[in-house]
Amino acid sequence: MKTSDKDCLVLAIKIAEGMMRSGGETYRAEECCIKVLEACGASNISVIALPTALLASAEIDGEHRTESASIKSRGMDLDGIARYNSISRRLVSGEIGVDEAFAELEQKKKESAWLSCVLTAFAAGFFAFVFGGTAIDFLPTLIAALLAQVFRHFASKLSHYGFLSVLGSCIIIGVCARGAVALLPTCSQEAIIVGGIIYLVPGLALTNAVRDTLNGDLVSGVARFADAMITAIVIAAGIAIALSL
Amino acid sequence: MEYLITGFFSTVSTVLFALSARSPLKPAIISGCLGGLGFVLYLLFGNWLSEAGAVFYATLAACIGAEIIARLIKTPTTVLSIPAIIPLVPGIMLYQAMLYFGEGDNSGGVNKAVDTLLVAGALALAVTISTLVGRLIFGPRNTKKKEE
Repeated sequence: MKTSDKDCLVLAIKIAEGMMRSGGETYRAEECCIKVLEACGASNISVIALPTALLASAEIDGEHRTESASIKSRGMDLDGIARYNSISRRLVSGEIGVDEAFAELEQKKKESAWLSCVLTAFAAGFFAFVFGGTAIDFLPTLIAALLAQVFRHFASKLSHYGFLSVLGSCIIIGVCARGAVALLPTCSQEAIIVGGIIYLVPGLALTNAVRDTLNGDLVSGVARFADAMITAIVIAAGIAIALSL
Repeated sequence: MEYLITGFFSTVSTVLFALSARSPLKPAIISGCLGGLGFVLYLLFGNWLSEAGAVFYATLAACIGAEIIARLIKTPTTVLSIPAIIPLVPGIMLYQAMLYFGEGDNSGGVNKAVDTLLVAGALALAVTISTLVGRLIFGPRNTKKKEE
């Protein structure tokens, strides 16, 4: 039987882990962890959050304990960031207890991968307009992005790190764009490709890299910057492969 | 008028992008408006400034807007600012650089690649400065809780 204080350290690390997994900033994950532990009356708290691992130790009722978690996947889940943030806020303000917080952690918003694929495809279609496309470019971009998303969905099951899935998606988009131009010469290849790749571009990783570095989380900052650079290079390589086919 | 239409489309696509990144509806709509605003400002500034300068000021405006609204609706800033800067990311330049390389025009490709890096740098710098401004003017987000 666990005591509620022991649950507290587990809870804190779960919240911080979820925050890192969803793509939250390092300082936010650390802060959430510390806040939750403080709210539970722990002392001597120290938390280390890295993009790949998380360590938290605290003294609770005179007993010093350490918990760790390894972070295997780092995706983009804006709802997750908002949700973990609000759980830790409400826990700290005393609105919910430790048990309720655990219950809330469990009830994840289940969203279908297909809906996400379709939404992304439509977003790509509209982005084609923004980047100088015309009405005729909408459908090819939508189809290219949809195919790329479906590929990504299946490829992400094969490996945690999205290296190959991004490369494959870019090649698919490039090939689709060239096919569309071959079929309908009035299409703009540029608009289709740029609309298609825009959601693959590492905006989240780059923004977080800058924010982490600014907060003094140098290790996370550099790691995320490397992540963003690798993704950008992979995207560039994918387009280059498709264009030179 | 042309700006308004482009702005509208970038708003729509930013909202859709935010939703596909599993953002809740309200922040998605707000970040969509910020994204549209940022893109219209980028087009406007593009009349007088260089590409990198226009991206810098447009990102600054969108991100400072995100900092302010995030504090009003008590949402992490990232939830608003990530989708909002997506239309400004230099995807088109990256593509053009790759097109040059694909055609064997290496000097043109390197030129474009350097331009892309400059714009990406301007974007990152603007994000940095907006975070700093947010913190200087509105204080760290946790001040209230520490006083308790």
